[in-house]
Amino acid sequence: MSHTSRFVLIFSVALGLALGIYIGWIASPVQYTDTSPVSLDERYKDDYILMVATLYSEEGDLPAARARLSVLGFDDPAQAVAAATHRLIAAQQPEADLRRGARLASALGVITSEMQPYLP
Amino acid sequence: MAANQPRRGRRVEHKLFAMKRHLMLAGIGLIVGLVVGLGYTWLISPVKYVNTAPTSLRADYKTQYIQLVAGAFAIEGDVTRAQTRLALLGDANVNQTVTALAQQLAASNSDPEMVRSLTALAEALNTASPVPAVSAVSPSAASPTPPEATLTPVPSSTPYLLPTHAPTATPLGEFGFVGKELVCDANLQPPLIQVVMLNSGGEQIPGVEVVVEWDGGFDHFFTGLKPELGRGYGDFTVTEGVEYAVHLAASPSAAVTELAVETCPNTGGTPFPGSWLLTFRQP
Repeated sequence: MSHTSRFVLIFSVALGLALGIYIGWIASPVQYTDTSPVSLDERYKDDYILMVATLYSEEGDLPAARARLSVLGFDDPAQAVAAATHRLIAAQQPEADLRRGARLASALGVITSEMQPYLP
Repeated sequence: MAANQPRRGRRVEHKLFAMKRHLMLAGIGLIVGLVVGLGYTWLISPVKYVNTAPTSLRADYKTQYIQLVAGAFAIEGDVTRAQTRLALLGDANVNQTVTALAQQLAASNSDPEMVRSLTALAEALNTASPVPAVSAVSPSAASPTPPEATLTPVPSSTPYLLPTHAPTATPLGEFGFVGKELVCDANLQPPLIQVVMLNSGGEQIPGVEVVVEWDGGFDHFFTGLKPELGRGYGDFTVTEGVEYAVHLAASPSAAVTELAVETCPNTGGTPFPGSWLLTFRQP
């Protein structure tokens, strides 16, 4: 194969590759329209946790709360709830929300000094 | 001169042949590169979406999300907060979606508390002022250099969904049976037992559980799942020849018995089965 042919082949493969990557990642990437709560943005996960905590505060049903939290895909749901509660505290959210978050975290086994003021 | 023409002709032919070969190589190379590139980006290492919004959730997760919102609303009583949460689903008809979900769960005899919560939420949404639409968070790709997602702020303070002041729900008390009325409407077929729940002020109340019993069976329904017919309206399809008893789940003493389909006269036409309209009211 001549130098020119080799150059043409390599160049066109590289061009095709670049085009394929552009189409596959930018122009027409795989669309995940049916996502799970695992991929939710942190702020939406925090609100999801808050809703679970609100329901738990009324029902007192810890297994149900665990089941609801399981869809968020946390390796350690207790720590995740505590972290979310800390963010709520830092954002100075309403006390009712902080109490609910702290209560759920506590029920799951995590109590921190930041949460202490909001626990009964 | 004449002797050079064949050589010139062979040179031109050779160049044409080389050009064709290069074009063919370019075409093959392009296709191979494209296939490899697409195969890698679509199959081996597709874009992974992180930081998604509830609008991209799968249908069953959206249903769970709506139930969570309804459950939280039942406790907080904050319709604005519930609206903001539901707006994240990107559903232009979310009010109807909530109502439909309540009807679906009621029909499948699912958790009555959840049906009540959904009914109450649907009722509140129908009477509340709409909140501004919230744009979903653009998903950011995980590879290779993910662009930062631009976020449209939720219409409250940052970034959490703040509660607002909302009136507390009026607790259900005892209901009294007001009366029954035979409804002769030829268009209302099959015949129904229709129920309307009123509070002491005469306003219709949604979310009231009504139990219907007959020999060998029973069922229940909730008021408010057909808001177009009234906030405190509910109905149940009945069969001719069967005798029914109706009472409220919360007020078993408010019962109506010996309800059976009665025939309505139809001047100039065939008689048809009538429906019963029962009215209950809080004292």
